[in-house]
Amino acid sequence: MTHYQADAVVVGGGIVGCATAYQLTQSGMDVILLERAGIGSGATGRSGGGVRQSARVSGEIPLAIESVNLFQGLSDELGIDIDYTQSGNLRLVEMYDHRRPMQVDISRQQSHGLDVQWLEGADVIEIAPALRRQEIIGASYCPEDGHCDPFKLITGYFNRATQNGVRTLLNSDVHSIERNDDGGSTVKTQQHSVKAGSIILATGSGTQELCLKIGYDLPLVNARYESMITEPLPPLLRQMFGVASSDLFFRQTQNGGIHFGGGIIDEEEQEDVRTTQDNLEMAVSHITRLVSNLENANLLRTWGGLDPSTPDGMPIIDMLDENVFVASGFCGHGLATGPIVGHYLAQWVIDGNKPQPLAGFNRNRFDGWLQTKWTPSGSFEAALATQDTQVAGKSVAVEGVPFMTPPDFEQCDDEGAPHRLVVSPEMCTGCRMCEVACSIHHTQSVSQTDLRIQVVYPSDDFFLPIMCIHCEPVFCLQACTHKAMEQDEQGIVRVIDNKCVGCMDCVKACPTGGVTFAISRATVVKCDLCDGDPACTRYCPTMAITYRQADPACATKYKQLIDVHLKDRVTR
Amino acid sequence: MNAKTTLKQTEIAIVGAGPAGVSAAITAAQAGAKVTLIDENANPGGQYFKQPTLDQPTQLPGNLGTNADKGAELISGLEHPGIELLTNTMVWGISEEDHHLKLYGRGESESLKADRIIFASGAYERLMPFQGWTLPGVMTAGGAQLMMKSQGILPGQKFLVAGTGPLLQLAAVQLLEAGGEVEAILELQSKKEFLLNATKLWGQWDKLGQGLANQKKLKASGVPIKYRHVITRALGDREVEGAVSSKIDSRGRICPRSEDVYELDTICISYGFLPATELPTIAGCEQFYDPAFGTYATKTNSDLETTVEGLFAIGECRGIGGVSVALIEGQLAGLIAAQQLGYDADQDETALRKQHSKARKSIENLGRLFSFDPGICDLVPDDVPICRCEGVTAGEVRESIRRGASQLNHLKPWHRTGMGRCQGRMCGPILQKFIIHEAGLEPSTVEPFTARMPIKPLPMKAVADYTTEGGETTWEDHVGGYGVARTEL
Repeated sequence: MTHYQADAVVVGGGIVGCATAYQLTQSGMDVILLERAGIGSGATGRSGGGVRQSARVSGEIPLAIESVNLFQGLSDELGIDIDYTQSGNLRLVEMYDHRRPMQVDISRQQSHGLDVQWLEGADVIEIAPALRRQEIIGASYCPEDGHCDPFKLITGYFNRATQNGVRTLLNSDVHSIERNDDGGSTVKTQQHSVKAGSIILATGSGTQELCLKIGYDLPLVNARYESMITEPLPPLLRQMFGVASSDLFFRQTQNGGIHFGGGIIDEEEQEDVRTTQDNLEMAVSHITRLVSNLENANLLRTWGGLDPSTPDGMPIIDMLDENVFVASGFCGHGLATGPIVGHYLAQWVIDGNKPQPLAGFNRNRFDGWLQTKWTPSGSFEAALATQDTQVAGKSVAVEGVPFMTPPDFEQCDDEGAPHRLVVSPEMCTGCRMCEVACSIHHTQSVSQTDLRIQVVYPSDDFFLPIMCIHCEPVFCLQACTHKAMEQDEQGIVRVIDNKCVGCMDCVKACPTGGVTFAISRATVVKCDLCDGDPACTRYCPTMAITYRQADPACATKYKQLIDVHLKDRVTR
Repeated sequence: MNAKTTLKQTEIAIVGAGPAGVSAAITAAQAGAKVTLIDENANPGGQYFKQPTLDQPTQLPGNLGTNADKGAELISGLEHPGIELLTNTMVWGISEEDHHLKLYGRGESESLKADRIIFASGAYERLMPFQGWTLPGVMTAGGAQLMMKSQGILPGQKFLVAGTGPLLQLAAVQLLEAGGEVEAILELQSKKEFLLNATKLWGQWDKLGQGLANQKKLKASGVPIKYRHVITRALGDREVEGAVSSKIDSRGRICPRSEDVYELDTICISYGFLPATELPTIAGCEQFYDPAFGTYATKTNSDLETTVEGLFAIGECRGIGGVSVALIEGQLAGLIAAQQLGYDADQDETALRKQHSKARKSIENLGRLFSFDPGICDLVPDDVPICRCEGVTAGEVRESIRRGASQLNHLKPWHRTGMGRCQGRMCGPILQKFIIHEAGLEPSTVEPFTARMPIKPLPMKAVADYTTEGGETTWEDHVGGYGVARTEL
């Protein structure tokens, strides 16, 4: 066993580890870098190479914007051309159904100050002519995004770190970390024992295992991503590409190969880096559908990599214990933020204060989340398909769709407040899934009439579900002169079918348009909250309708919306 | 599952129609099994029994001719109703769970489900780089043989044959018989080592006999065999015009003032073979380090079955053994696979097993004829490219090994070695020798590049279900007709 001593020990020779080690030595610290295999042999070397700010979770956008600023000068700083091309990121929409969700998502990103815009199909082809026009509906376009060569990036950081005096121990798998009396720690591998004041764990897919050893259970699940590359082709694609409907990404590398791939949607923990037949066929079929004539190119190589995911699609960058730092869980898009995380992490280690940009990445943001089932993938379609990710009504903002960030809920102060439907119209995409769900639940058929909920389109980019919000006072009940309505102890008003004569007094009295006349039944119908499990909330893909404890203020807000946008339409 | 891919079924699938694969197919079919034999070449026979593909039947000269005749005799046994022969068909992968073979040939994709699979995928030639080894006119000895065997073409006029192992002398004889001039044979081993290793073949009379006959022919033609000599430089600007050789001393260093300069047009090199184990590796078969040859190979039991049930490995891919071993292993594996499926054969299994163990035993010593000390890596100057696809030089590799790279995969991020068109088939074994030597590691600890599907470059249309409609513009139009030359499979 060889003994070493240093100011700081960085565990993990990926982009975060190398960048942190380099930044630490810039401030004159003595650093040892431990890596269990080779430099960049984990997620970094296997990554897609995208450097993008768009299509990220809101909380990560400011960090990504800063990172892109850093990337612009990185080739000079590292003294190696990292093949960074700031040619834009296109997230392609191939189905009409995804057009509105994408546009809503673009507005969300714009609200965080990101320069991202919607491009129609023809405009996409204008800047990326190698795509097949007939397959593209449109795309989100962020011109400041781009891509780089991950190998050159990590080599650049590693070279600089080495020049600054970082000692690197390769093939050194950490098996224990012990705290010393002086506040420092001792990291042990098979062959080495390293004593250091600070430890930085940038251990990627090995983080969960290592943290469990030292007594921390982080909500990390390893997801496997598979990539493949074609033989070198003439210049076809400049931008970085993603696809709204799946995890497919692609880009053309500097030497001409088309590098593409994506994640495996699998809830089980992934342990190996193999590649699978299914994913290969899926990705090849998908990309050949999008890029002209690519089916004639030769596929050269496939590879797989592991990266830990967190439930909300953002990394965990935190201090576990005095002078023990962790940065992991980058959910498959850590290459772009790695350099800036290294920068701030080093700052944190040196001056002891948490830098403000890292404030949102505490591990305690998951307190109370861990029992919830979640999928380690960001596919929009997967979220649509998996009921488990539909968590509306639990009053906990669990991330089901990292691509679409859930609305910020104002927590209800009153603990005894009843559960009600609450609408976040800014999230509504006008998909009308709620109408279908409601209709199937109540009439076992998909009906255009007899609707208890109805989505209206006041303008081109504003949609609003119209329904009963069970407001107080109960105008409908008061207006009913035939005793055809009753209210239970939870305040839910139901229509008594055999007493209703269809006089429509209640319809006229309702301030939101939540009561409607059903022609087929010759009675009025209204929402009954599906006995506490509203179908509309379960099937709303964007959580525009949620079922949770609501203040009377929510109802007031909704009524105001109706007044502003729809007065003429709902009071027929 | 891809909608375009059709699933075929067979009882025994054999990958590779070389000596081992062909004899396995014949034995299994004669026992009554339904056999599918797959090879990526146009004709069965493999590299050893490569058949002439000329329009008119030509009798090749000397050794090449008798070899082709022997091969033709073996191959004629494939005309058996139980054998389906798929030529021009590449096996590009094997599914990890159900072991369906993935085939692509003649523009068609197929999956093949088989009750038993026999891997007879052969071997690659191993090389050592030297200054100028990327010039046109430098080829492997096997490559030169191939041109003669299949096309009847002599690849040059004046040859230098360099490397190590008995193949050098055989190739030289064949070149002579085909009408070429061989300037010299440069053998890395000393004469003493070579003869000592050759005497270990005692009892293998056919091999020794052939070796002696080769030596005799070379002597008669006045071709010098220079032991303890290596090629240090190929001369020429655009193609090979000459070569420089040097003598090396017993510690592997170049002896000063021992340079010989040759004027010639073709250099054939060979440093032994590397088993082609990609498919068994992907299927999960355990690999082992074969110290005699310094390569990894597929592990099998005495029934030639790998560590995965139902999968067999025979011939070179379970350890370099040469044609005689391949033929026996083919018969044995064909027999056992057929028996496992309930067929009865009138072959004498005990005799076959006896023959096999005897043949394999002799190989342990054959290995020494091809073995060489990784120390000769020192002879490669820093500016010589090792990875030809990505242009990585020996100096860059050495620098990285000094910085701690101890596996082939460690070199990838730094240099992209093994990531070009050859996917490490060419540079992998060279880099392995470099790491073993420069880092002073146990040879068995340096693992080959990870094998993954597709094992060879595969047109995307083989797996894509997208079909191009007529009249559509292509990226070749977008980039102004700047198309790439690409060979269709």
